[in-house]
Amino acid sequence: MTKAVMHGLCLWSLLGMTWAAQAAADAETLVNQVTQATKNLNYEGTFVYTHETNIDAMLIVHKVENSTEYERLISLSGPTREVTRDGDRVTCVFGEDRYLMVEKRRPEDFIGLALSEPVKKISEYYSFKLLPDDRVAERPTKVIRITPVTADRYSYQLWIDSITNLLLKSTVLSNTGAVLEQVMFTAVEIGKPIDATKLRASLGGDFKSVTNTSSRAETDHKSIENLKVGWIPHGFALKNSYVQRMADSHIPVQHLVYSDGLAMVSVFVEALTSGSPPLKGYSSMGAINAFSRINARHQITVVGEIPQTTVRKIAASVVVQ
Amino acid sequence: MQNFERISALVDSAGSDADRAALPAICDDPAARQTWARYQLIGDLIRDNVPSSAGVEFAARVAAAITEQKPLLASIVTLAPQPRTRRWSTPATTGFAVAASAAMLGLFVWFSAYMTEPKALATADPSNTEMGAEDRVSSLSEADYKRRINGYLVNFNEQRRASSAPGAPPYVRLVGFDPAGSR
Repeated sequence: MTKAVMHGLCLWSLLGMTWAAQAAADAETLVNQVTQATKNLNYEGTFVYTHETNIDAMLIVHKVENSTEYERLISLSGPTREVTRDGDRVTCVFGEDRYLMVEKRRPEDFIGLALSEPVKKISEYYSFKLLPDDRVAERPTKVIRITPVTADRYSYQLWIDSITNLLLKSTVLSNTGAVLEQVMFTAVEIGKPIDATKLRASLGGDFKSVTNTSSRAETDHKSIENLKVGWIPHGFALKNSYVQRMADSHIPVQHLVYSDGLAMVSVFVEALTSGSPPLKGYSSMGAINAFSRINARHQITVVGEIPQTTVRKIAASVVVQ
Repeated sequence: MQNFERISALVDSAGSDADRAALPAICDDPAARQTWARYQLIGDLIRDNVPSSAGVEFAARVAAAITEQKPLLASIVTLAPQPRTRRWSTPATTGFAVAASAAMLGLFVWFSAYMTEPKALATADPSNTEMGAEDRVSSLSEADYKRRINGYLVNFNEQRRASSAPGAPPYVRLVGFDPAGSR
């Protein structure tokens, strides 16, 4: 092989590596911009949510005013449900059960989570790839595929508005490539003023209401002693740990939050009482999996945007000694 | 052939002479006209013939159409492994699968344009099948179960929201959660 050919091959290889690195960097930058756009933009639109064999249509209104987020999400098909958010107060209305749940969070509950991990760090556990541009809701989009390095978490594909960086479509895929859930706007307006009336809950009437607006003093219970999470996927780190009360329960719950910067897992542990029948087994909601078990008279529930086997493995490793 | 099959074929421009001959009868039947409108709406949605400012009224119509077609969707999921070209090229020989249902199949196929395994669309996580039947047992009533799981979900989603991780809006799973299907 001549020297010229060797040089050519080296140059080609170098260019290829540079292009790949640049593509990954572009993808990473876009993901970071999405997180900002989702929080900081006004938007209003309808989207379809597909999971398992279901397709649901929903309406979302999101407004930011004086750095406070307001949001309303309402189902347009299936059971009538509505979630409204007013700063740190979240109200969930379940029309079919005439049931209403209010959760008020304290800013200190999110210490450690206020900013997402820099994507640079996430790239240790996921690869980022830019795909050909596409179109969603009549808007041009950039497309990114995020694939995990290991099989204990999911892949993502994101369609990002080319103009505003708002996420217009997303899919979560299993490690075999199966689509677990998909969210796609069919119509959206971005960056326009939003009237406050559009953020008011529309489901009215007589509801059974449970409210959790407790202060820090009311819920500042001691952590559960000798609680140990024996296994967590590589790359996940403990981001938050606090004791809280659930909206419909007075029993303090230890909530541990783990994240790899993209996926998140919550581990809930609470003491069982005679009045609280145990929750056992698993649930699946699109890409969210939950698994509950009992250990040493404690209810352990793990919820995460990770595969069922991973959720179960984490739950199995949690012990109260 | 039933009316909805004829409408399905006609909306998809794949109707036979017999289907076209049945048009006057279809036009005279209010229920058939509604079915036609529903199939047309779904077809428009799939073909991107939706105005950018369609708004809530349109969304409500989509919602109604989707709700009414839910039994159909369940059937379609089983059809998903079929070749994706079928939706556009097959003449009206497969009953309802040709147009309206094919339109919804098209919805799935369309959604899966970037997927490596289109046949796997809308299936559950394969790893979930490793769970034994005993794992699904809970002594709670449906209402209590839902309440407990919702409590965890709300708190999980709050944390996820605070993390700013990209993906589905945090409360979508809560609003779309079907406890009967998840147990």
